[in-house]
Amino acid sequence: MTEALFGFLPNLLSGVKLTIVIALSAIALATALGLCLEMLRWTGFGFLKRLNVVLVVVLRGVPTLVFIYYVYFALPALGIALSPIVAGIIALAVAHAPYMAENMRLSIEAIDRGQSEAAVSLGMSKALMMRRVIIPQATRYFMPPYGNSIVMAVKDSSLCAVITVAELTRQAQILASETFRTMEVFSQAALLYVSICVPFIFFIRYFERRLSKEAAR
Amino acid sequence: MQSLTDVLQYLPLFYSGIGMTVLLWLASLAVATVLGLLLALASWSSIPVLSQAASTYVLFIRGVPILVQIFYIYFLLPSIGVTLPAYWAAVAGLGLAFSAYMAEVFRAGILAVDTGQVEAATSLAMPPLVIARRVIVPQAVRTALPGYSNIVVMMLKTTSLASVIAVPEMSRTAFLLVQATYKSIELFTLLALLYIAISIPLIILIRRMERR
Repeated sequence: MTEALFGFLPNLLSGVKLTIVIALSAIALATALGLCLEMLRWTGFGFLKRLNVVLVVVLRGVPTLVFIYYVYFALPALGIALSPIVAGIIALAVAHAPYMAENMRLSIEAIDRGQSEAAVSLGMSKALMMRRVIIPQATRYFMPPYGNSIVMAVKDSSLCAVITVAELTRQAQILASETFRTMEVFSQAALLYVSICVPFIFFIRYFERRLSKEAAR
Repeated sequence: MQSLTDVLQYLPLFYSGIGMTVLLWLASLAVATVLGLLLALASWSSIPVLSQAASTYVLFIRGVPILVQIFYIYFLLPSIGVTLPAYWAAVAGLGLAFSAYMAEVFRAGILAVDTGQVEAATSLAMPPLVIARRVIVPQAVRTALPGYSNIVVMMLKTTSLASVIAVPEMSRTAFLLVQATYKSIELFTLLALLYIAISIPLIILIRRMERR
């Protein structure tokens, strides 16, 4: 019984480490990319604003798995050969970037118009207004969807298994094909995924509760 | 332009894959919608066992990668005597996985319906099922629609995961063709374009609805 429940955990743990590394690096990169995408919208140029819309729509239309295939199998044809882990991180980051940008847009739009009007009437420049007024307030709205993105990234990192990154799912596949104990191995892998995600789910709940408390005030 | 024709010459090879992707999408969408609705109603109901079971299911399914769920169904069910063809395993995997997300969207829609409405219906002595059908669902649909269509787009993209259990849909087709021809850039670009072509009308529709 204990073997069925915990027997494969030691073998799966190295996969857990890689899963977390991939997910968090992908999120960090996606945050930067998403911010770049979102900043296109802040500029005064209509052309760049339209570029933001097109990029968000197009990038959201492509499956994460296709990004992974693309970065790992297609880029070498252009002379850019990446290791599986790096390719996975980049592909996940590109896949998540449009969602980041959309979440940033929504949390900025959630702020009362009066705030930016007040900042403008005080003669603040646009950059200063963003840095001092808008972004500090938008961050609160941004945190719950950000936690959600992290959970999604943890789960999407399982896709890296198809390009032989030895993360949790890949480790489980290998173990299952070695031992034929498919049921036990994948149940334990599923359990590990849930336990990686739980802290982030609490993180989301914490920020959601803080927001609703503020709203009640 | 040369490269565009390079890309497009492979299009005919994708026709059956496109059909399979769309079939997978619609079938799993039907499963997820029905199950999600049942789950949302279960978690809304006042029967503690039902609502607890529904929310536990949702929490668990949302914590496990969809790829793992598909593996689970495809490789595990045979060990208890149920052998599903890859296509149905993928439909079941995608349907179960997304039913949890659907349930969340529907639940949010249900919660957005004013409690006064339910109280009024109760005071008119409507039985709970009639309240659900006549009062809650019609109003909840309007709030849930943007979230729902977002999931519909997500599901289209997630059907690509069925390729790992050898369902011959678009991604699988592209992958096999790349192995045969080494034309990785052309084929994967075409693949991405196909997904975009299917999903863009939907994404634009969502934006319209959000603005309303």
